[in-house]
Formats: sequence, structure tokens, C-alpha cells
Amino acid sequence: MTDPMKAKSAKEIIDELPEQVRRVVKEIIRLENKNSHLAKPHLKEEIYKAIAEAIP
Amino acid sequence: MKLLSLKVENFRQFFGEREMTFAAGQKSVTVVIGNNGFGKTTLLNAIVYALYGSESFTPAFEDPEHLVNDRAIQEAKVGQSVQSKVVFDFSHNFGPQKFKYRITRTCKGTKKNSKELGATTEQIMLATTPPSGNTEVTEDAGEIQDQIDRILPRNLYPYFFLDGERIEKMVSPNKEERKRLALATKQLAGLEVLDRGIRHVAEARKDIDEELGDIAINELKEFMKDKIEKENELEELKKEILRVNTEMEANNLYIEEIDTKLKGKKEVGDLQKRRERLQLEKIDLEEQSGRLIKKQTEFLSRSAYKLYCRNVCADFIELVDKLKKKGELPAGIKRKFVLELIESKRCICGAELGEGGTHLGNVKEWLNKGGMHAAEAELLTLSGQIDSFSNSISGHEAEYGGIVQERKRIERSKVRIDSDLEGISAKLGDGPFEDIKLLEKKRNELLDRKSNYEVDLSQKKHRVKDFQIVLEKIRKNIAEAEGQAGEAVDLMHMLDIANRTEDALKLVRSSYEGELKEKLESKMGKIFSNIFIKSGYTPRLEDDFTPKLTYPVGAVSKSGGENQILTISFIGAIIEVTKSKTADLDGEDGSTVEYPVVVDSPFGQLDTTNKSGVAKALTAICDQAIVFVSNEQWSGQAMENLEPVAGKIYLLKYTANAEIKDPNLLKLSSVVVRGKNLKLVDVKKGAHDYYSLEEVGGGK
Repeated sequence: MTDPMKAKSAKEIIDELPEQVRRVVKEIIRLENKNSHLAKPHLKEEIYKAIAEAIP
Repeated sequence: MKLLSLKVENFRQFFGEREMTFAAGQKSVTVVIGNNGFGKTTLLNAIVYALYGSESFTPAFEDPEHLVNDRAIQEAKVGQSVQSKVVFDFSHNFGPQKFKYRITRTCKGTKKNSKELGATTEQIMLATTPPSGNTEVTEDAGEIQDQIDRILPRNLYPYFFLDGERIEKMVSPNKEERKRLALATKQLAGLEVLDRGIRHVAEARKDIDEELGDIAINELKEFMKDKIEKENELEELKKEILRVNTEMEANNLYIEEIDTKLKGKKEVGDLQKRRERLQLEKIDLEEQSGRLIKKQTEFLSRSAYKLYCRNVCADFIELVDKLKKKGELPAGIKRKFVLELIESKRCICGAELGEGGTHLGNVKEWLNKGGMHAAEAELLTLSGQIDSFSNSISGHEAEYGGIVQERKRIERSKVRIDSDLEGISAKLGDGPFEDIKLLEKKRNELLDRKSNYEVDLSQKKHRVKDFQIVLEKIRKNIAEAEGQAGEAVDLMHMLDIANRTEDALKLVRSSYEGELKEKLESKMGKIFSNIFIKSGYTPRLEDDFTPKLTYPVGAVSKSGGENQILTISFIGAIIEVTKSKTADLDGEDGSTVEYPVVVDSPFGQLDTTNKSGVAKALTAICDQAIVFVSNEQWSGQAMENLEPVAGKIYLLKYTANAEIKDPNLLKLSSVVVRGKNLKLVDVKKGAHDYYSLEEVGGGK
């Protein structure tokens, strides 16, 4: 049985997010991971795009 | 980070070029054997220097300003430029992508007199080759440092490039070092990915906000804002309802438990059973009452007006009666009859109805009265209908009265049952049995709580309905405004998602930091217990991510050996956690990342058992190990454990130009590698003294 007092894990938090927000959060983590070799990645535009694609 | 090769040129005691490649693959240990002063610390620091510059040498690196080889200076002419150079090749995987790097750091000065160089300058160059193969070169020191920090943060390097003699000091850093260590650990283990995500989403949000600011539709903005706020509040309220419901269910279960206990007590079992019967009766009455209320409501909405029409009907009937009594109703003189009289020119009283005569005028008056006939007929019909309606009111009054009476009866019954229940409760609560008194007291408390829950729930549900009504209205307003500003609506949706994403990322980051600490502590504990055999020593990670060892009660000495093992366990934990970092949040494989450990003299303070444990652990915790050992340290446990896993073994040799008389040096002048006795010290008369690096044993 899940201990209700136990803090939620990062993954659980993501899984419980509303669909649109979850999609954007996951895309941001993917983009940041993918570009983590860059000292100063400029992902503002790509994140903007991910947000735009998530709107109903 | 996988170390590929290192080349030093005129660097410290190495005159000219010396080069080594590092073992990788299954036998990924590189061993460098050399006596003190032969260049072990220099080679380790050459890597550190290449990566982080001259401010990052390990504490054992003496005289750090003196980088250019003395002989190179000697052989140059005054005024000539002399340089030392370190070229370090390594690779690093970012997910499935493998990048190769060559970093070259040069220290250059001009010879100012027969022995010394003038002020030196440092140059750095980084060549990066991505999987596509297009190498990019930069000499921007800031950019290079940022790149290196992405691979192995400067603040964390002392844990990967270890000075074995001072290793125990690393677990008790000062406040400033602690801060840097925590920052670097979090960076390496993936928190920085989330930090960057938060920063970038905030930048994107700012852009959306600015775009929206350019569109003047404040009203719609307010609607949207209001909608979001109300939806969030409603969401919170629903969660609250869920929570109260859960608590109330638990409370009810508790009450049931107490009831069962009371029923089981022989002294009061019957009383409790009676109470249960009464409660059932009460529930039944409440259901009946509910049905009656529904019936009453339906009746009122359908027929309530009839009850209020009784007086109006009575007034109407009275009015009609009065008119009848006065002879004004019915008119009695029909229009046709009057017309016949006029035509016959004679009245019913016998008077002649001549033209212009008074009698004819009077009879024509009757004709006017006859014009009211239609209205009179209507009035009479209506009068009949009202009479019948009035009679039906009595039936409705009787039906309504019945409902009211029945409700009163039920209310009286409920009052009686409540009184009985109170009586039972009083008997149980004031009786002679302490345990029963306590149970009843608790039960009453729970009932009070239940009642509070019910009130709370009812209020909250009512608020939900209010919210839904308000939201419906807002949605209607938005729908109207949306038709006018589609683009703005999209931007507002985006702004909402951006805001929520930023909040979510912050929450994820906070949780992930906690998980990270737990993971590091757990993995550190496992590695530590595999190496360290004494029980009662527990590695912990402090809040600022500094490793700490808790000692068993009565432990008197806190040896450097324990701390050395703690440090190695910490490094192992960082490597393991880094491999799984934020990739586990987006489902990508993060296991491709590799980390080396480069350690100078790791076995100095360890006893035989721990020496063996550390040697095994070094190869187990990391993907690649470079171990610098002295002749003495190599013998015994270190050799037994490292030789089988060593892919490359190098000797640091000293070649003297004259016969060696120093007995200590002579004593340490040879070493056994893979069963062969090899020279560490040599003599070549006529030549300069020099230090060289010689590969003597590959993997077998």
C-alpha cells in the first residue's frame, strides 16, 4: 500500500500532471538532455514551439 | 568522460615530449609505477592542468608556478621563447552521441637570464569533434571552461583526480568547499538539466507575455485569468472534498468499531442493539422525510398558485352574486326582442313607439343594454369555471395538508428517537463501567467530528456548484470574446501552459533533489560496506551533499583509511547516479556516460585488508581507472588486485648521467611487473639526467 505521507517522486509528479503540461515538461527535459553537451544551449525557441503545440 | 591519451612537453621534470595512452574496455585500468619525485603527481596534475588550469593543482603539486622544464629553459638562449605544453585527449557521451575532445594548454615565457624565465602566459585551445565529424576549435577560455564543466564540473574534480595522501581531508571540507561540492554534485547528477529547463521556459514565457501585451484585449485577458484562477480553486476544492470524504470514512469506520465493541459487552450489549435499531429507524424516517420533501416541492411547483387563489375566487363569486341580486345579471332583455318591438312600433306596455317620441328613445336605450350580452355571457361562463376551480382547491388543500401532517409526524418520531438515543448515550456514558464510559465518550467525540465533516462537505459541495455556475458564465463570456481574438486566445493558453510548466518543473526539481540525495546515500552505503569490513560505520550524506561517516559507539580512532574508503564510495555513488540522471525522467537511456578515477598513491594509509578492498573498489566503481603507485605501494595486495585488470602498465624511469650512490634510490631501483623484474633507475653516462615514461605491460 502506498504511504500517503511519503513525498511524491519526480516521476510521479510528472505522471500526475495534466496531459498538456506533462507533454511540455517531458519535451523540455528531453531537449535539455539532448543539448547538455552545449555550455549555453539556446532552447527558448524550441520550448516556445513545444508550448504552442500543446495548446488545445 | 573517457581518458584517451596524454602528452606532455617540457612539463616540469619531463624534458621533451612524453606520451601515454590510457587503457579502456574490459581491462580499463592503467597503472603508472614510479618512485617519489619521478613524475606521478606531475602526470596527474598535467590532466588537471589541461582541464582546469594552473589554479586547480592538487595540494601535493609543489611549486606550481614552475611548469616549464629546467633543461628546456637552460638550452634556450636569453630572449628566446620557451614553453611547456600539455595535450590531453578524451571523449564523452551525451546520451547516444559521442564527442571527442582535444585540449591543449600551453605555458609560455621568454628566457630573461641564464636560469630563469620572465613572466609566463597561458594559452588554451579546445578542439571538439561531434559525431558528425566536423571538428570545431575554440580558444575562448570562458567557453572552454563552460564546456568542461558540462562534462566534469571543476568543483567536483578533486573527487575524480585524487591525491591519495590527502584523500581523508576531502570528507571534511570547509564551508565554501561544501557549497561548491554540493553545487557540482547536483550539476553532475542532472539537476542542472532541470535548472536550465526552468530558465528556458521562463524566457519563452516572457516572449509569449510580450506578444500578448501587444494585443489589446484586456477584457478577454481578465476572463482567461479569472477562468484559470477559478478552475484552479475548483480543483483545490475537489481535492479538499476528496480528503474530507476519506477522513470521514475513516471516522465512520472508527464509530462502527466502537459500536461492535459495545455490542460485544454483556453489560450493555442489549442497549447498544437497541441503539442500532433506533438508528435504523431514524435512517428510515429520514428517507421518508426526504421523499416527502421531494413530494412537497413537486406539489408546490405544480399547484401552489391554487392555494393562493382561494380569496380571489371568493371575491369574484361574491361580485357576480351581487350583480345578479341587483338584476344586472343576466341582462334579461335580448337584443332580438328589442328590435322586434321597434319594428312593430309598439312597446310591451302598449305605448306607441313613434319616430322622435320619448318611448322609442327609452326602448333604444334597452338596445344598448343588449350590446353587453356577449360580455355577460363570458362572465357567466367564467363564473361557472371559477366555481368549479374553487371547489378543486379544497382537494389540493387536503393533499398539501396531508403532506405537512405526515412530515410533522415524522419529525415528532425523529425527536422521540433522538431523545431515546440521547438517553442510551447518557446511560452508557454515565454508567458504572469505566471501559464502556470511555468508549461512549470516544464515540460521542467521533459523532461530533462526523457532524462537522458533514457540514464541511455540504458547504464545500455547495461551493463547487457555485464555482460551476460562475465558470459556465466565464466560459460563455470567453466564447463570445474568442470569436474576436483567436490569436490572443492561443497566446493566453500558451501563457497558462508556460506558467504551469515552470511551476511543475520547479516541483520536479525539488523532489528530484531529495531523491538524488537518497540514491547517493544508499549507493555510497553499499559500496562502503563492500570494502570496509568493520561493522557500525555508516556513511551518510549531509544536507549539503557532503559525505560523512558515523562511527560506532566506543570507536576511538578515526583513521584516514576509513575516510579514504568513504571518499571512494562517494565517487562510486556519484558515478552510478550520474549514469541514471534525468534520463529516467524522459525515458531515455542515460547509461552511456562514463567516468574515470585518477588516483595518486591510493594505498598509503591503508592496512592490508583495506588495501585489497580499495584496489577492487577502484576498478568496480568507475569505468576507467588510472592509478599512480610507488614501487613500495605496488607490491603485495595492490599488485595482486590491479595486475589482472590492468590494460596498460607504465614505468616512470629515471636515467642518471652518473653512477648512483644514493642507497635509498638504489634500493628502489627495480620493480616486478607481470613476473618480470624491471629497472626504474638507469645510468647513461655522458647524457643529461632525465625522466621517461615507458609502457611495460599491456593486458594479458
